[in-house]
Amino acid sequence: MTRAPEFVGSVRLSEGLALVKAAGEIDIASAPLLQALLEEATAAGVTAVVVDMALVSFCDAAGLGLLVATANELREAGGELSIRDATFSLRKLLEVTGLADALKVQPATTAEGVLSLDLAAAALVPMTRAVLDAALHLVVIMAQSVMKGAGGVSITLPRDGRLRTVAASNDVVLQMDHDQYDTGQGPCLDAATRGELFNSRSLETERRWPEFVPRARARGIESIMSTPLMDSDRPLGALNVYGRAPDALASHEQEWAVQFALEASKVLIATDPTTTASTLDTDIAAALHARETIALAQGLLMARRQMRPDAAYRFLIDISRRTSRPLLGICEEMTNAAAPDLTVGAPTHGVPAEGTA
Amino acid sequence: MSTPPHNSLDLARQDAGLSQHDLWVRYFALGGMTSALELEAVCHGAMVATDPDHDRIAHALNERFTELGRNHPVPYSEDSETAEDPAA
Repeated sequence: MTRAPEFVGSVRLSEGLALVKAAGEIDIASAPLLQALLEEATAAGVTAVVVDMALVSFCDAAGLGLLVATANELREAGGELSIRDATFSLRKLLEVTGLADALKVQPATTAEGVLSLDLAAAALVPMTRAVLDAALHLVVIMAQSVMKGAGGVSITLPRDGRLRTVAASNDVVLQMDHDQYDTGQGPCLDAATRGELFNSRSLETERRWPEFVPRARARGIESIMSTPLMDSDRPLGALNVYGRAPDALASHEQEWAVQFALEASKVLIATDPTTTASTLDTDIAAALHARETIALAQGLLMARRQMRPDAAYRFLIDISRRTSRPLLGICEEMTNAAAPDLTVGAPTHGVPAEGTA
Repeated sequence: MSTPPHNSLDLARQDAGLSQHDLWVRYFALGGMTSALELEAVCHGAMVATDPDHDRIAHALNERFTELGRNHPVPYSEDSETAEDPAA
């Protein structure tokens, strides 16, 4: 059930860096509390402020404005403010509003922080294969959105006696995976079956998979990193990151790929194999996807019209009631119009300045 | 036996031809965070939903009624401030 808005936070100072931990909802009511934390951090004379948002479920325009103002102050003083471990919804909101760059949104230090909320929602439903796939899809989309060098991300798992792609961030990577299944060779097959990491930083000089590599390059792929998903010593599958240039992934992004592979492995290990083999529950997988879209539309309204979460939701429901159109369809239109290429890159425009509702 | 107003959501669910599971999936898709068991309790009036949660349930039902070519018979939290009659 929905609780009354709550906000708590703390500041920790060490070696010229202030870590501000925030938890709960940041809105017009709680923004002064966040402001007090930020002032405490900057008053200590540090120039680098990191705001840990892993436990922030909502952040409206008041909160975003405060973060931007503090970031600007710090920048003028030669420092910077960065956001760490924002949840998936918040991260997308920052991207859509063009604030991701201004606020230096750090990709997650662990995938755990950003996945926690949506995986908590997934835990409410019985873990069927469809739910598992939806959770893995979330990992893939997340990995794609935080790794700037990634042209695409996919997850390979053995299914019904052969390796299959169960989640892919775009069609090109799906085709790339199929090229590997067709030719019977490629890094994702080797990673998934041998349990070893294969990092091919330049396909131009790659000699290990002679049939597959030309197909990959014909599709515009120049580097591939396949990280095995493991349960102790037993390989479960692979997480594949494709790059459109040689050395596309920076070294820290390669570390994140390993982190995302660990998260995907945890999801698999936590899943009882007897339940994953049960009947597909596509309804629940679709419901998980719908939730994400509606939450994103809600976040857009909150940022652009300075609405509180409940008001934004009611606003959307009112449109659905008036037009007798499903809420999901309305939210899809809204999010598509706001960011047609959300997974490709963040828009660079500033804060939208629409009037209040 | 007179119908207690508390289980009007469950009556609407039956009227819409949805199983408990169907309703929960639809409610969950709209962002609900209550378990299937709790939702059942809410529909029967054994638990009280917050306004936003009530509106999710109402909207899940009303979207189903729209599919059936009917209007939106289940009141939202705002409606109940002006009208108390939940009858469809």
